[in-house]
Amino acid sequence: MRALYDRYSPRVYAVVRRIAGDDDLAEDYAQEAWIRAIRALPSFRGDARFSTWLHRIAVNSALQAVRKAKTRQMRESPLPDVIAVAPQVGDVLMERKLEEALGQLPEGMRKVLILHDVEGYTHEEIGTALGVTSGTSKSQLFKARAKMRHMLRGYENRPKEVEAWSI
Amino acid sequence: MEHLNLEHLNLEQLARLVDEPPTPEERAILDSDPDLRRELEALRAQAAALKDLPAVLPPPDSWHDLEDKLRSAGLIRGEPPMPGLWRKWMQVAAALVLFTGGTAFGWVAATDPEAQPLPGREAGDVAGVARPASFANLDEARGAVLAAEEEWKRTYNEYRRLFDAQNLRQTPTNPARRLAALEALVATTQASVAEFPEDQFLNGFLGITMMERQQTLRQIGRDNWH
Repeated sequence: MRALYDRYSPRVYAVVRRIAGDDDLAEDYAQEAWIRAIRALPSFRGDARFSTWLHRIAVNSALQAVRKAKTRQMRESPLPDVIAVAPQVGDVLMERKLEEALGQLPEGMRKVLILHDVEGYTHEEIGTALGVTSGTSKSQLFKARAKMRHMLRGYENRPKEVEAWSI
Repeated sequence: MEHLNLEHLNLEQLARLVDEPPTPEERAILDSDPDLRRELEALRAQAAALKDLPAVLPPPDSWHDLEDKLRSAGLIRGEPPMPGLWRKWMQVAAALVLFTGGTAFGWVAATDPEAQPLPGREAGDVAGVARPASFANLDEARGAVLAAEEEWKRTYNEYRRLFDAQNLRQTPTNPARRLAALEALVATTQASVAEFPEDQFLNGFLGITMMERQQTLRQIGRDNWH
């Protein structure tokens, strides 16, 4: 069990954390997801890859938990540091900005953007997971992308040295 | 971006064009406005960057919290591992890692008659963790990675079995064998990714193995000072 956890927990934690928008909630939601997955292990038939199966459980569990919590207060607080899993490639500062911008999106837009652009869900799958039509999913996605673009627009033209000093 | 001509194509419409083809009318607008085209490219880059966001490590003690809950729920059985004994094991490994360096991995593996060679490697070649592998095709690379993972799991399980039996003194080289197998897994995966950088499976696997190595070495270093 520990080996399974070590192997898959970063991906589970990442999606749950992005959906939750908060580290404390994410830890609770991730643990709930693992408990659900372990309970459901006997029903895993190998139709999908284990990682895909587990990932679906994590997403559904987090979405359900967020619906129950119905709180957005904690997301107002600054985003704590996150430890990205190696290999470290690409623009780390950009990743941080993306995470921050994700955290500032309204909940509905954030869920759709995470599921579609980060996790690769189709609009039909998002519709099923969120209980909305695929048209609503699309509409929320385009709004979310536009809002993200607004938030990130200034960043891309900023000199990186200045950004580095602001860490 | 006030200077953009979004009169006939707003940002949300551009966001749709990230993954849908433009209508002829939209195409005409885009063709006539380089700023809009740049904006669309920026939206595409944003979507690509989101897709590439890395996984995130959970808090360090998260497994222990989960383990307690799983035990309470009756989903796992048995006594939790004893930190004192675990620490002794890790101190042995730490001593090997910190004071004899990476060559200890190879020496231990090379002198261990039970060590199983990885596919494409000779017995004792775990020492060659820095030796890049070469693969004829993607399937072979994946196969080598999975074989290296099997080797690592075998040594890990052996490590756990010995730990559970509290048989600490009989095989002091076991932690190093486990680490050697992990190093071999990292090296094999790195070599595979170098040859097939576009392969998502290999890239994902590399992330996992690097994380495992990082966590293992961090724990060894930490426990060595406690």
